[in-house]
Amino acid sequence: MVLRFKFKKYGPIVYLGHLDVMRYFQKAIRRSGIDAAYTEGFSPHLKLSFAQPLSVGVETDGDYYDLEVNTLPDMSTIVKLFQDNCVEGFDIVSVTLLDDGTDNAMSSVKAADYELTFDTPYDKASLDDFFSQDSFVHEYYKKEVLKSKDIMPFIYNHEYIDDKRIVVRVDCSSMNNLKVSTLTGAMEKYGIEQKVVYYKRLDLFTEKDGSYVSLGELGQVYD
Amino acid sequence: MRKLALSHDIMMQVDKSARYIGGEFNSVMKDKNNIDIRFCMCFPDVYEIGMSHLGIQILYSMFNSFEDTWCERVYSPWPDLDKIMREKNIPLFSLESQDNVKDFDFLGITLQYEMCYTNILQILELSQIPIFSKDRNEDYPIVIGGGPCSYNPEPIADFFDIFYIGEGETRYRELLDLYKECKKSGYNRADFLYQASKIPGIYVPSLIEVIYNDDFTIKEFKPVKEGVPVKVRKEVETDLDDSYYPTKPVIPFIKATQDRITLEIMRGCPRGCRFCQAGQLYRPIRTKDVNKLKEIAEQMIDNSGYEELNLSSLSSSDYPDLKELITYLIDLCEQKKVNISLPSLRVDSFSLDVMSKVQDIKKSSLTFAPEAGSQRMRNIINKGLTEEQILEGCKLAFLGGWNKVKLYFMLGLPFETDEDVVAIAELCNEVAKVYYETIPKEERKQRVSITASTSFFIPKPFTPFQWAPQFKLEDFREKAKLTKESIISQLNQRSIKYNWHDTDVSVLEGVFARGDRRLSKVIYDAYKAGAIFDAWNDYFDYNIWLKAFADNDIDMGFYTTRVRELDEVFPWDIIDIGVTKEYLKREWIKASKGEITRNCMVGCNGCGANIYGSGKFCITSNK
Repeated sequence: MVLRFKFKKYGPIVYLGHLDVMRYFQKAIRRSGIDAAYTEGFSPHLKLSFAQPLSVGVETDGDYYDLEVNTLPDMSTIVKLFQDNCVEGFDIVSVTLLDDGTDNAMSSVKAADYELTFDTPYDKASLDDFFSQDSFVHEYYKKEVLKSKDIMPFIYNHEYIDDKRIVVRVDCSSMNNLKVSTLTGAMEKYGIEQKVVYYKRLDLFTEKDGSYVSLGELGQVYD
Repeated sequence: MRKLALSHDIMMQVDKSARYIGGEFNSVMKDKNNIDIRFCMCFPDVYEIGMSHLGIQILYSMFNSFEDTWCERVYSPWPDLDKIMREKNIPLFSLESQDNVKDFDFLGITLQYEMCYTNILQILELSQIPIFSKDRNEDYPIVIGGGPCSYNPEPIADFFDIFYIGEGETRYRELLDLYKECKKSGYNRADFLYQASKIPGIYVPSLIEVIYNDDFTIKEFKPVKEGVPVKVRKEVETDLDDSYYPTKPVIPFIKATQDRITLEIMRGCPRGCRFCQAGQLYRPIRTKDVNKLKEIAEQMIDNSGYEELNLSSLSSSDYPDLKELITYLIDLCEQKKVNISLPSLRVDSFSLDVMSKVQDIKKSSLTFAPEAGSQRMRNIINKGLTEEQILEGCKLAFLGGWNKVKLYFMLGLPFETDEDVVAIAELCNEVAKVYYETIPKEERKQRVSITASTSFFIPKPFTPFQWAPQFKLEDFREKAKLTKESIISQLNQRSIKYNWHDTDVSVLEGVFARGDRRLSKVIYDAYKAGAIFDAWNDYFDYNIWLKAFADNDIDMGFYTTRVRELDEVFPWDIIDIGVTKEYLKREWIKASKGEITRNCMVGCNGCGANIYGSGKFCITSNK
């Protein structure tokens, strides 16, 4: 049986890197006392997988990890049980009992929504022009190696929230993950004058029957 | 929601910014309007090192159990953040409240090794607290030092208001009450310090004047004010079963150096190795009740979520109920999916059996610390380990499937000759020989691997070797060279690997270990010239130190290589650790004759530490 945990990360703990977030949840799961499944051998590990690493300094409203359990815990209290074991800045939003055969979070994640906040009100016309391009080849450095990537195929959707905020849906699969820093770099190079001063992840999605479904909506949801 | 002291921009610029956020699981938040005393506890090194330290966890939990006190933590900012804080004039802040350290009532600094001294000055300076205690007025926190290096606090005496001598569990409440009392009636810093000096275990260095002889040895200690004691006796927690233990340890987010549960099973050591400072400082020996330990272990596993548990003591093999404890812990840990990391145990069938249960024999190695190569030398240092025992232990281990052995030695021990150094290589060769004699050729899957490591011996205060001259830098290098050459000339040399570390830092450590108050100025000058993180190879710069000593016209040899007379007054004689100087002197003389002293669980050797009346073993063996 696999449980999927949806969590928020905000406040001072956004400065934890992905490995530290994993280590944190490993301990929190062990403290909760639920009957989790472990690997065999001299140093048993939890059977735990995370959907997609989040960059240091970034807040999220919807990230996920999958945990295999031997026996099903009391699902009516599980959100509270885990919330009580959390520090300030991590919130457990919901827990889902996945249907058998559901792909794990890491391999099923296809897209992510990010909310971008500009320093001053954006110019809608220039953003429309940017997003309507068929192709925009962006050059950027990844670990000091120059990369070149046409980013447009990996931007799926954009939505205007208010005069400073937009939501962008981008590819978040393990193969083609488009980092927000790459996207904002490309927007800047294209000539968008307003700077993105802050962004956060809103949710992660998989593809089901041709449409995007939140990772938190597969299986039976408890919140 | 807590607000960080550093801006998002700065947090994104510095390496491992999670070092500075606090808010870890089990860290303590209190409403500062409802408390009287704010205590900031500091380990003057980087977060990952500091968070590995058990002592702070104990005191943190003790202080926070006081309703009127909020204890927080601070560690040394790494040089990248240090630079930004200086440029932008950002004062150093505590992790929990993120408030400025300078606004606390107390700043407690633990002194775990000599090479952290410049980091103390960094902490003070970044906190915007005057570095010298004489320059602090009523607006600044009381700066307290404690921990192993406070047993000779003299080199850093000018930077501290108070040294707490001994185990923190006993007298802090009294000190805090005095502080509260003084605060009620027009707080005067000098008056508080004067009254504090009368509390047992509290040493106020500014109230003691050191009078020197012409040759800079010490003539006497003189109280500046009437009633200030000239002998400060170490404080000892007499009942470990009834003392604070952090069953809810603060769990760091980022990986600390010791990222596991530490279960303290015993304080003190009955062995009396003559080079070992901890073995004398933590006397008398005190054990924890095995049932209490079982209870604590389970609580800590449940409260922390840690995946590993580690036993802590100076000599776990001497813990009387070790078998019962380990057998229980193996069961508990299997059930809770926790790994046990075993302490170094005397190698016998029990410990090998235990080891094979909890670790992969193919990957793990067996560790011995003979400390010296020849039996003559092992007698001098009173290391009760014979060649026969080492070889027998290795034989058992080889038969059990192990083929990796690590051997630890010291070079530069008192009375050491070239033959003693060569004996290190010979002992390694013998271990390899035992392997080839024990394991038939067809069963040898890999070559036996023996790793010999040497470190340089540094005489420490309150040991029988406090009278010993330290070897010179050139001698150390010669000895390492000789060790290497002798290993290469052994028959089984291809199975032996030799490691040693460089020496500059050993000289400086030796200077501070047995240093006096004149060194405060040298440390200050070196710090101002850029010395910091001296315990880190990448940052240690010996030339800065050479210049600071030269500028102050102080010869390092005075502290290290000089021959000390038996009746010399030492800078640390202001402190009384219970073990008498007479006993240490006897031990020093016995060492010179190569005579050994028995384990004090077998019989009392009259060291003096039984004045505390607390050591369970100390007491029973005296009856």
